[in-house]
Formats: sequence, C-alpha cells, structure tokens
Amino acid sequence: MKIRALRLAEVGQFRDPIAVEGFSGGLDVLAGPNELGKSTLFRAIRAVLLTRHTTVGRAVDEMATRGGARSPRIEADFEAQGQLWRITKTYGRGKSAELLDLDTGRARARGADAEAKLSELIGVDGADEAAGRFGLLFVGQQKSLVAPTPDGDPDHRKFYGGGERATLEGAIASEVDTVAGGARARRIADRVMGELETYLQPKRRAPKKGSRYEAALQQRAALNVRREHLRVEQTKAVARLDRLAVLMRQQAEEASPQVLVGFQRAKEAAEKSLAEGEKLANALAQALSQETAARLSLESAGERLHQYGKALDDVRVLALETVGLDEEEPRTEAARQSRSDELGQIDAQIGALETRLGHVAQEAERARRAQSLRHTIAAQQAAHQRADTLVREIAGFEAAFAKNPATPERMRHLSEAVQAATLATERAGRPAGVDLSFALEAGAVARVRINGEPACASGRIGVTESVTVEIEGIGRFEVIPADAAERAMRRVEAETAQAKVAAIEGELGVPSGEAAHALADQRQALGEALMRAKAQLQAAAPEGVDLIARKIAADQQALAALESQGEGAQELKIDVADGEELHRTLAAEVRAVRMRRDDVIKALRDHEFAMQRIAERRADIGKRLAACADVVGPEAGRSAERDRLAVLRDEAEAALKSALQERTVLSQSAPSAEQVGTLRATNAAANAALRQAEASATRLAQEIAALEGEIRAAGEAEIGPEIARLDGESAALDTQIAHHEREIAALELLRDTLGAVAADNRSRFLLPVMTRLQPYLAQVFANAEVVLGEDFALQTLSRGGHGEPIDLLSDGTREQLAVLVRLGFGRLIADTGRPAPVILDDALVFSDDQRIARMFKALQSASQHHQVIIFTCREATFAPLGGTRLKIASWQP
Amino acid sequence: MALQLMRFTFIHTADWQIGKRFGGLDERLAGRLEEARLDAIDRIAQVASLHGARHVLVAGDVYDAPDLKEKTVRQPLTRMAQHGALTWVLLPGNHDPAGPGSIWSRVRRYGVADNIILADRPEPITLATGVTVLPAPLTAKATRLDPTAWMNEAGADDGGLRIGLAHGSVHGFGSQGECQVLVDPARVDAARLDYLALGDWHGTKQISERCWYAGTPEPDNTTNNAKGQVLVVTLDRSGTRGERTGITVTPVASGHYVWARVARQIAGAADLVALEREIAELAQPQKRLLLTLRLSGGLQLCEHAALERLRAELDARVQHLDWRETDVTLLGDVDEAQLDQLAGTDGELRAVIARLVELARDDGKQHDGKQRADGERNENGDVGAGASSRSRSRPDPAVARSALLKLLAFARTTGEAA
Repeated sequence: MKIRALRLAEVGQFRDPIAVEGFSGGLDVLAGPNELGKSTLFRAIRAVLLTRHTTVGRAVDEMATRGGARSPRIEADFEAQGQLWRITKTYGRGKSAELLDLDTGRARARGADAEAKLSELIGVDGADEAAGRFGLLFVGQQKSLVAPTPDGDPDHRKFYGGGERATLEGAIASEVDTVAGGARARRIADRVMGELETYLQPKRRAPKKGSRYEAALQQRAALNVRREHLRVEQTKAVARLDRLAVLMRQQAEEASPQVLVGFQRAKEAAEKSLAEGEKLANALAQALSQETAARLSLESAGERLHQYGKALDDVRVLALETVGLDEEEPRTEAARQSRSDELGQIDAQIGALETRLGHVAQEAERARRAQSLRHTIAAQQAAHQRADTLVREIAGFEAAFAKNPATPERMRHLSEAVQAATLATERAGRPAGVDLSFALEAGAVARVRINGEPACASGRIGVTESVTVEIEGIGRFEVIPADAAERAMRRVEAETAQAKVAAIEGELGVPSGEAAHALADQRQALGEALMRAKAQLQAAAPEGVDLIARKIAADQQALAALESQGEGAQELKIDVADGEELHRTLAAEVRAVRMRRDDVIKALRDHEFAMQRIAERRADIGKRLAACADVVGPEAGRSAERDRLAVLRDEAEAALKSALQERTVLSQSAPSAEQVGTLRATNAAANAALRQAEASATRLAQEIAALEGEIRAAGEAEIGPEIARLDGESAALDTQIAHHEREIAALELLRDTLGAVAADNRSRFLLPVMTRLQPYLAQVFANAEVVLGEDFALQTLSRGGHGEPIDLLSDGTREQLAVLVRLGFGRLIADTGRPAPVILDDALVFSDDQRIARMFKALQSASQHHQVIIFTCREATFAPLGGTRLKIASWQP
Repeated sequence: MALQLMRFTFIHTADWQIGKRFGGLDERLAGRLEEARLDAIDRIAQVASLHGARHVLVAGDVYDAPDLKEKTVRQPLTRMAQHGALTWVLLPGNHDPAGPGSIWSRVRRYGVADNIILADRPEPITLATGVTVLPAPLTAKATRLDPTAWMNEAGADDGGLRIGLAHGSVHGFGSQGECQVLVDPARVDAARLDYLALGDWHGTKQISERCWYAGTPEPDNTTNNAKGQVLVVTLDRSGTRGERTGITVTPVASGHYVWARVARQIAGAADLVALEREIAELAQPQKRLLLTLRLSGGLQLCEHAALERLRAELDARVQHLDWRETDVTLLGDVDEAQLDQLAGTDGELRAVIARLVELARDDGKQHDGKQRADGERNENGDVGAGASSRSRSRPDPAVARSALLKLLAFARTTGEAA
C-alpha cells in the first residue's frame, strides 16, 4: 500500500483546506519548520486509514480545528492491490466515508462499506484501533525513542490487542515452521523457578533465607562447632583422668605414710650423728683454745723478760751517748759564732761597695746627658741654618713667579686667540663660488647688461666678487656672492683675531708665540722650584724656624746646668766611657762578695742545725731514760726483778706443754670440720627431704582433690555419647543437604533445559525479523547484533561481542535502533506482498551527523521495498537524504 | 589336686554400652533404641532363666562413656537388681575403664545390689564353689600391656573352673575391634582357663573353642556381623584326669531391632519385586527393621515410578529407611509414542524431555557437578553448580534423571496429564 496524496480540511491547524500531492511511493520527505502541520498530517494519515468516520468524542475533537465547524475532513489517495484509490472521510457532523476507484473514477463504497473495503485493501482487521501493520510502522513525534513493542504500550506498561503482533506472527509463520506450543513448558518453567526459589535466593545462588536448605546448612555448621567444642572438652576430660591416674600413682610412690616415716627416721639419725660430732668438735676446739692461751702466756713471759733486759741495755747506751753530746755541743757553738761574725763583716763590705756603685752610676749618667745635649744643639743649629736659606730661596721664587706674566689663563687665552686667528685667516682665504646662469627671451638681449656689458642670450657667469646686472626698464641688480661678504667678514674676523693675539702677546711682553711659550715654561719652572723649596722647608722645619731657635736656646741652658753640676764633684768627674767601666768593675766586686756571703750563710746554718740536733737528741735521751726507768725501776732491785721474770717464763712453758698433750688426744677422736660440715649437710638434706616429701604429699593431695572436683563437676557431661550423637546428626545432615543440592541441581538443569529449548524456538521464530533487520543494522552499526524478546521488543544491542541493555543506550542509539527495527518490520511485511508505508514524524532528533548519514542510507535502502514517508523540521540536515520533497499546498475540495 | 566334678552354665555377654546416643535419627526412634539397650538386660535374664544359668558375665563396656548422668548409670543397675536370682559380673572396658574418677568409682559410691559384682580389680572372684573368674579390667582407653597377663599366676590351682573375663582385641586373628588393648589368644592355655569371655567386638565371634566374643546383645549399627546375641556357655567337668573340661557355647538371639544394610543392582521392575521380598524377610514385623538400602543399575523411564512407589512404601513400613538410588540410571530411549504420551502437543515440552532423556543416559563420560551436588559450595557460599548450564561438561546423569522425573511430575500436574 502506498500513499499518493493527502488532503485535509478543518483538521488541526488547517482550518483552510490543504493538500500534499505528489507522493512518489518510495522515499517521500516533507521538510519544514515547526508548526508547519507535519504532525497534523501524520495523525491525519493514521486517522483516514484507521479511524472510522463514525468515531465520535475526543478522537474527533482532537482532530478538528478549534473554533471550526468540528467537521474535519481527510482525503487520501493511495495505491493498493495494484490500483489507485481515494478514501475521503468526514468526521463529526456530516460524517461520511467514500472510497473512490481512481482508475475508473467511480465510487466503490460509502459509509461502513467504505470502511470495510478500506480495511480489506490496507490489510487491517477493521476493528477500532486495530492498527495491525500500520501501528508497527508509524512513528509519531516524540515516539522515536520508544522501541516498538507490538501490541504493547511500554510507556504505560499496558498491552492491547492492536493486531500488530498478529501481523508479525502472520508474516513470520509464512516463513518458518516453529515449534508449536510452549505454554505448558512455560508453566512448568514457572513452577521450576518457584521450586528453586524455595531453595535459593532469586538473584544469587546462595541458600534462601528461611529455607529448609539454609536451615540444614546452618544446623550442620552449628553442629560442627558444638562437636568440635565437645571434642576439646572430651580431650580435657581424658587428660584429667589420665592426670589423676598419674597423680595417684605418684602419690603412692612418693608420698605414702610409709615413705614419710622413712624420711622422718632418716632425719632423726642425721640429727643424732650431728650432735655427737659437734660435741667432740667443740671439745677439740676448747683444747685448741687452751693451747693457744698457754702459748700466748709463754710468749708474754718471754717477751717481758726480753724487754726488761733490753731496757737495761738501753739505759747504759743512753748514758754513754749523753757524754758524747756534752763534748760536741761547745765545739759546734763556737763554729757557729765564728761564722756569724764573718757574715756581719761581709754585709758591711757589700754596703760600702754598693754606695760607691751608686755614685758612679750617677756621674756616668750626667756625662751621657751632657753629650747628648751637645749633639742635639748642633743638629738643631744646622737645621736652623738650612731653614733660613730655604726661606730666602722661596721668597726669591715667589717674586719671580709673580713677575712672570705667562699665567695659565693668559696662555690659554693666547692659545685660543691663535687658534681663532688661524681659523679666521683660513676661512678668509677660502674662495666661494656662485654661478649666475641666465637665459634671455628674444628681444630681451638688448635690454640686459651684465657688468655693463650687453648680455648674450644665455650663459653662465661665475661670480666671485659681485656682478651687476642691469635691465632696461626694470632696474639694476647686483649679485654679490654671500661668499664675498662672508669673505670680507672673514677677513675682518681674521684681522680681529690676529689683533687679539697680538694684544695678548703684548700683555705677556713677548713678540711672538714662541716667546710666550718660553715665558710660560719659565714660569712653570719657577713654580716647580718654589714647590720643592717649600717641601724642603717643611721637612727641615715642620713646626717653623722660630721653634727651632727656641729649642736650641733651651738645650744650651740645660747643658750649662749639667756642666755646672759636674764642677762640684771633682773626684767623680768622669766621662761616659770611664763611668761605664768603673760601674762594671764595682758591680763584679759586689757580686763576688755576695757569693762569699752565701757560703758563709750556708756554713752558719749547718752549725745551727747541728746545735739543734744536739738539743733534740738530749731531749730524746731524756725521754727514753725516763721510759726505761719505768720499766727497770730503781737500780737497787733490777737484778731480782730479772730473776723473777725468768721464773714466770718457765712456768708458762710447762703449761703450754700440758695443753698440747690434751689437744693431741682429742684431735684423734673428734671429727674434722669438714666431717662436721658433712654431718650438717646430711642433716639438712634429711630435713629438706622430709619437708619436700610432706610438701609433695600435700600438693598431690590438693591436686588430686582439685582434679576429682573437676571430674565430678564434669562428671555427667556425657560428652562421648553426645559426640557420637552429633556424629550421627552430622551424617544425617550431610545426607539431607546432599539431597537438597541434588534437588537444586535437578531443578537448575530442568530450568536451563527449558530455557535453552525456548531460546532455540524463539531464535527460529525471530529469524525472519532478524534477517530483514540485520542489513539495516549493518549499515548503521558495524559488527552489531540485536536481541529481540519473544514479544519482539528490543532487549540488547551487542557490538564486538559485548551486549548492552537497550535501556542503557544513549538516546541517539535507541532512536536509531527503533527506526531500524521498524524498517525491519516494514521489510518483513512488504515481503508478504502487502507492503505498508513506514512514516516517521520528526524521528532521528538525537542522532549525530555521522549516524544520521548512515540512517539515510538505511532509509534509502528501505524505500526500495516499501514507501518511507519522512516528516522533519530539520530541512538542512535532511537535505542529503534525497527522495521526493513534498509541499503543502492549498486545496480546493 | 582333686578335680571338681561340675557342670556350670552361665551367660556370656558384653558391649551393652548403656547411654549410647543415636544421632541422625528421629528423636523418638533414638529414644526407642536407647531404651532397647536397657530392655536387653531383661531379655538376657530371660535367656538365662530359659537355659538354667544363674550367672551373667559382662565382658566390658557396660557403659558407653565414663561421664554419663547419674540416672543413666543407675538404670542398668536397677534392672539387674530386679533380676535378683542372677549374679551379674561387670567388667570395666575401654568405654568405661576403671580407676580414679571413673564411672565405677561413682557406681561404688551409688552402691550396688548384692547380686552385682564389680570386677574392677585384677583379682580372682569366686563366683561359685569351684568356679573362679579372673577379670582383666581396663583402667585406660588404651594400654600396651596385655591385661590378661596376670591370669597365668593367678588363682589357686585347686582343680576348679577358671574363667577369664577380658575386653580387648585378640591380636593376630584379624579381628577389628575398636579397643586398643591387645589380648593374647594363647591366654587360654597359658592361664589354664576353661573359657575366656571376651568383649569389644560387637558381633558374636568365635576365636577358639574356649575363646569367644559374645557381641552386643542389642544391635546398634548396620555393620554386617552377627549382632543381637548372647552366648550360653556350659562348662562340663567329668572328673577324668587329663581331660579338658567339656564346653558348649550356644548363641541365642537377644536383640529387638534388626539393623540391615542391603546393596542391590537392579535392571528392571522384576528386580524391584525381588528386592521387596528380600526386605520383607529381614525382620518381622517390619517395624523392627532399620534398613540401609543402596541401589544401582538402570531402569526404563516408566519403571522409575515403580521405584518411587517402593521407596514410599518402605519408608512407611520399616522403622527407619536410609535410601539411596542416585546410582540408578535411565535405560533406553523414549520413542515418539512415549513423547506424545508425556508431552502431548507441546513441542517445547517434547524437546525438553528428549534432551533430558539424552542427558540422563549414563554414557560413562566424565561429568561435572557430581561432587558439588553432594554438598560442596564455592567461596561465595553459592551452591555447587551441579548440572547447571554453566557447567561446560556433561551434567551428572543422575541429576538429569532427577530433572526428567521432576519434569514429568510437573507435566502431570499442570493440567494436561500425560
């Protein structure tokens, strides 16, 4: 079926009748700005084909022009079943329908008949809104993003029986022999899913919460935890029993009453042995002590006897020594006194020498000072004389310098004047050239005279001075080169400059410049000589000549004073050299006397020290004699005392012998210290062993009691039987879980098998659609595939093996896919032999330039097989599409 | 030494394991099983009465654990005390060893009736005139020493009967008791025993003419050995010098429940019928039967329903059923007529059935999911892949068979029954 023309009156915005003529039946494009009425035309096409003329209510109200007669009229010329037809419908008041055979020009049906015939011609079932193929292929404005869902309104999530699905299925059925049925399989699949969901979560293959399966898994996990805990407890219980057995065995071996009695007896025996041993050891120690005391007594008696004898000897020796001291003391005193006298003499000698030495030093100093003054005075006088000479020289230089007129100022002026004169003279001598060029007109020659001479017709005259040009009737011209005036001026200037030079020379009193320079040189030499003289004067008399004179006078006075001092000390009147020699001699003599003094002092001290020693010795002897007197007593009883002390010594010796004998006897029977130590150690060990045994017995008893307490506390835990029960439970749960998982596996296999068979069926079923769609798809999307659901709705777009859900694609891509799917449907329907036009009202609004170009190719391809009508407001963009451009024109019904 | 003429009959039993818990079973069933172990004492008394025995020797493991509750400890003592005409000799075993802190310490503390003798010391016990029991009580779960060694030198050589009572494994005989205590099988001769009553092995087992394991009087698992019996032992001394004492050992059933384990290969419906018959003969009434059944082989698709029915019936009939038929494969193909019958006109359903039939056929190739279908999970906690479509290799035929059976069940209940 192809639309060939469309005419409207009082439809939408078209109050006045309009017509769109000249549809090609292939690719027809109506491009125009917004509000041109494109959507009205789109709806009009749909209405005239699918909406019965008897329709009332909102459908008609929306169709009619506002404020109009509410009687919209739509007329369409179309081609169907090889013939041209015209359907004209009027809605609302005056509703009517007429089907005209354009080939014959005769009306074929009116009213309901026209509707029925129209439905037959275009292949819809005639029911209201039964759009069938047209519903699939007409894309209204703003519907381009919506992928076609046959018989469905995805926007409102509802479905209606528009016959679209039936149309597709009919087209498909003619091509494929699909597996019939599937309804039972789908119901079974639902049941399988339902059963699976009693085991597993719907989105994740994990046990469903609250299911028997999950309960079994949790139960087994909890059971395992409990079993593990019980095993640990069982191990502890067994360990406790084992430990108890060990402890009781240990108690029997180490801590029984018999064993304790044994330790007690061993302890007592050890104590007895120790006591006996210690007793003997003590007796031996006492004997040793007595022996020691006897020995000490003997030593003491012997020592006293010895000391007494020694004291007697000391007394004798000291007496002899005292006699010696009595002889030595006076000798030593005499020597000391002699030295002391000698020292006094030496000191007096030294004093005299030093006095003389002082005098000599003073005199020498005076002579040196006088000599120095004389030298100074002489030098000063020389300087004074020199300074006087310089002063006179300076005065002479200054006068000559002042007289010399060749000051630098004048010389500069002279130099400048000479230079100026030289320049002026040079300029004055430079010739300047002026040329007078003339050219006279005919007849003027006789009237012009140059320098009084008739001029020629033309010529050139060099003017060095001046040229007079007379022109009869005009006047007289004198051409004076500026040069001449200039030269004259220059000459004047040169003369002036020369005069100036002469004046300056006159001031200098010289005839020439050379003489002036000589004078200047002379002046300069004077200046230099003057400077030198002043420098020399400054060096000779930095503080002035007068000051030198004053210094000379002062020094002369000082010298006179010094000389007058020397006149009063004739005996010491010496000169400087003599004074020094004498001073050295006296100083050496003083040094020698002092050295001798030191020797005398040393000897004196030795004697004094000897006297001191004698005194100390006497004192010491006195003390010792006093001490000895204490020891030995009065002289009368000394012998008897010595005898008595000897007797005491003998007695002490006898006592020692007795003690020695007793000790010897005891040492044979008493244990050694080492043996006593061993006995003590044995006793301590026996005590420790007993204590340890008692402690061990106590500890064992406590530990056994504690263990028995623990065993009693855990006594009825029935761990073993409980573990056995849990083992059985675990095995049962394993079986149960295995059963559940076999069920799950079976259900999943069943689900997957049902799904696979359904998918295969679906693939075969959709093949015709996919076959038509794929070429268009390839034109726009490289290496792409789409997946359609069994409801023909687009599900995914796969590119490069990666599938994307339709909902996640961009607007542009979705829009393009929606159009391409419609082209696929259109092609499929066209291949049934009853094509219908694909009409797109402002589709592809989201497509970019590259894609839209590819879409144009698809549209062009599609138009080869069925009519494609495009309404668009994007005139420029759609210009490359080509096709037949439609226009809205006035219509005269 | 004068030989004493006598004929002495006694009951040899062991491994009562009072207090044993049965996990993994229904709680009520577990309670009944525990009660049955106590009831065994009454049945033993009946056997003793029937055979004229006045003594019962219990060769170890009277109790299942050393830490049982007081009530559990007292219950068998009370039952034994009620049979006052019998003398019960109780030997500590590896489950209830003697020693400090042991269950026997508690038993002594609770006090026992006069007809109960605690053989918890390795000392001769004069059971009757001319009859001496030489007990070898265990004092630990395991020991390297042969506890019967003392018997060689024990007891007076007075010509009386010498009966050894011990608990452990007889080494060199291939027995596989759970006790890590070795008993010399030559002890009978070395210690001049007329009989050595052993415990530890739960099935009745003869080691030698004069050495037996009595086994447990009430079975407690499906290990295939003769359980649920006691031994009536008669020692007959005729008095002739040089002759050994005559001995007769008679196993007598004492158990209530029957624990059976059956593994069968099935190939068709007839095998199912035979199996059902066999199971019926295992115990009567069937409610005494605790059955572990392991099936393998293959059935046609239509025969699997019969298998399901058998399972349901057995589950209702026996005391406890542990059934596993995951190794029963699907045999044969499903033809068009069968598919028509199963799927009707639903082409998709037919295709699904055909695919699952193909997958359920065990072609011997390696398949994925078998391990994980039994309970393994990945690190995310997700369930094993089983035969899911994510598996690249062939799914487990058992899973495919289950899926197929489910499909058929769903198909039947979706309103268009096959």
